[in-house]
Amino acid sequence: MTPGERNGSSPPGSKPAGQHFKRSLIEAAVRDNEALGARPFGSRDEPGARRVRRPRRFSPWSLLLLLPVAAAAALGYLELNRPEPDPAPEAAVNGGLQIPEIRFTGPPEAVDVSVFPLPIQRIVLDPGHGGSSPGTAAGGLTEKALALDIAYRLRNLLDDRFRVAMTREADMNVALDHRTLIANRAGADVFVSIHVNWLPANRACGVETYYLGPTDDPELSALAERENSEAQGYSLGDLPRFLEGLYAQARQDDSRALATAIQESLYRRLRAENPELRNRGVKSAPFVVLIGAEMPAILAEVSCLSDAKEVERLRDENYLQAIAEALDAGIQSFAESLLPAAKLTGA
Amino acid sequence: MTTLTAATPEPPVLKVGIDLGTSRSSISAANGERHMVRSYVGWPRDMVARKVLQRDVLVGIEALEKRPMLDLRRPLERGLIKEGSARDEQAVREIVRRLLELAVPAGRNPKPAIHAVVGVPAETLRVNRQNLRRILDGQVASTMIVSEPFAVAYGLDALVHTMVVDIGAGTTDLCVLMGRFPTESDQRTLTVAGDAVDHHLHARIQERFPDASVSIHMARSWKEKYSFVGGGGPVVVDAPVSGRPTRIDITEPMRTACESLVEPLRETMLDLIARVEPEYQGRVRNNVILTGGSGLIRGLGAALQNALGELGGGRVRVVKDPVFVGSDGGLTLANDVRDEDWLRLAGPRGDQ
Repeated sequence: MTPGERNGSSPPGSKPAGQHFKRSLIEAAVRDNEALGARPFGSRDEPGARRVRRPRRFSPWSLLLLLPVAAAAALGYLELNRPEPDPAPEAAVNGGLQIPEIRFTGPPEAVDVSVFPLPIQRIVLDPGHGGSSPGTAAGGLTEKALALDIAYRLRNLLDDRFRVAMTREADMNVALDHRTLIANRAGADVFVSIHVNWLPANRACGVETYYLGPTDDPELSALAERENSEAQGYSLGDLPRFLEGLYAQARQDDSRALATAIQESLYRRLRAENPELRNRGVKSAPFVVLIGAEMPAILAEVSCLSDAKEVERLRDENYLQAIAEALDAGIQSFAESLLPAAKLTGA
Repeated sequence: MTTLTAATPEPPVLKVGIDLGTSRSSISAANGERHMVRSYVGWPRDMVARKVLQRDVLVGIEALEKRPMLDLRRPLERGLIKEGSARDEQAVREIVRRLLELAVPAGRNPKPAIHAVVGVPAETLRVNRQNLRRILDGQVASTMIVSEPFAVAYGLDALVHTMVVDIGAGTTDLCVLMGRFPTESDQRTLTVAGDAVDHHLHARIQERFPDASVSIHMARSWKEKYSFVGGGGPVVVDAPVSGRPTRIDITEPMRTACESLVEPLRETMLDLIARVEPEYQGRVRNNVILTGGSGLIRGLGAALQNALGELGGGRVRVVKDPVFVGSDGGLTLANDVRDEDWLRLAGPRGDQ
């Protein structure tokens, strides 16, 4: 078929029969374009407000995954409806159900999240820095631009399997607390913060992945201090919450598992591009951007701008794509590890 | 007595259709000019490069060929202007400038006022379209931005009971035309497109021939020559293995990479058709138009036609000359837009 061929009855060059019909289409197109001017040029959508573009694939088998949750919910319902001999006076009334006051008698026990075999559905990507915070820089490249580029590529890769949002989609300032707020409000299942490292002189370039936790390594403390330097939005009053967050056990195991999956994938994939690449491992450090996250959260240092050869590699789109693919594979590996099928097959 | 005043003559108007693509961009103008440029822009990396090249900016194939000396940009990733970089916006501006230079003969005086219809991926976000308008401001007098499949369908006069599947480099756009201006629910944009096939092919070749040195550009050029779905091949190419030119058989990697398009396309086509009113679904199935550079993959049209068998069969027709089908459609639309409508769409200054 060539552009000269038409599927209507009107021959090329002649006045098509449906001029009135075309007129209405053009009028709709004009109105659609006029509406574009309603907002000032250059204004931006809310960070993280990206529309998910593809319909989710639905498999009836996925309902099986909800069975344990449904059972747990049913048990909880029965438990709540059991007559209470002496309800606490301040018990809240909610929809006719009396919810007894909950008292903890000791430190909470860590729960193995594998008892809730729920799939990963929503992922929030956090390109580090942005706006007036360039992060590290070398050879005309900046951490903020590289992180954004890689995040776009990663979003592109994840898009067909997950709902993906980004904490920023442009070169703009986003406070650290706002980044996790976006993830929490979106009900994200995973939070991945993307950064590019700067290593002390004479250190070979390497990849490393962090989850939230304390550290006594002065070098890691310095790195965390650098990445935390833009902690706008928080104040001294938040310090107790920071410290609680640092030692919270509940999410730590998951975050460590996510960090491990991503680190292994990064090292395996990028070593093919750079045989001298060092595996700097999975580590914990007190990154502020991870503290507010209510889901497994990691910070990946996917490359380093302190290495001149690495700077050259980072100029290559294929290398940036390789980094995104490595992150994608790591996230996929973590997601599969949570599913019962993966456990059964030993995958 | 009548007083004659010297009025400033209105500049002539030139209507154009522009297709801004990830890999290629094209322009079709009412004066008969049709041009395509590769969507690459490069600036000299340093003073030495500037001295060698004797130019401040290079656009198109020339930029691609001289990339070692350039800060090279491919600014329309996935068919959209990459956000977050003024450099990429500048690159899009340079591509549009080059297209307009090609369409308007040099030295023409007075310079015509350009009325442009620009095609963008179907699900382009509002903010991207606004950015595009801002970039075009100053280069054209008036702009209408429409979805690429709509422009294609308009050009082919296929506006009723038709599905357009436009497989570009960065995106695949699908759109059902039901005789109304397509809304969000009539359209889908997939990021599974030509570039994804290139990366898939590159990865499969590296897996199969780990000692072969193959760049993504080589994989892309092989795909453009030998791509196929279903039966085909053999595909044997030359690639350096440990530095020595060696013949390698990439038939299976090629088949696997190209067939990676079929499943997401099948799924999305069926989903869109299922949303059409039942009595019209058969007509839409029998009126599927496959276009875009990757629409030329051998056997792809037949594979998609087979997929329609699940719904009772259908017919897929392939556009043989996809390079200009989008810009030609934009031009047809531009010619049909009335002058008063162009005034409504004029930029903030209403001129160039």
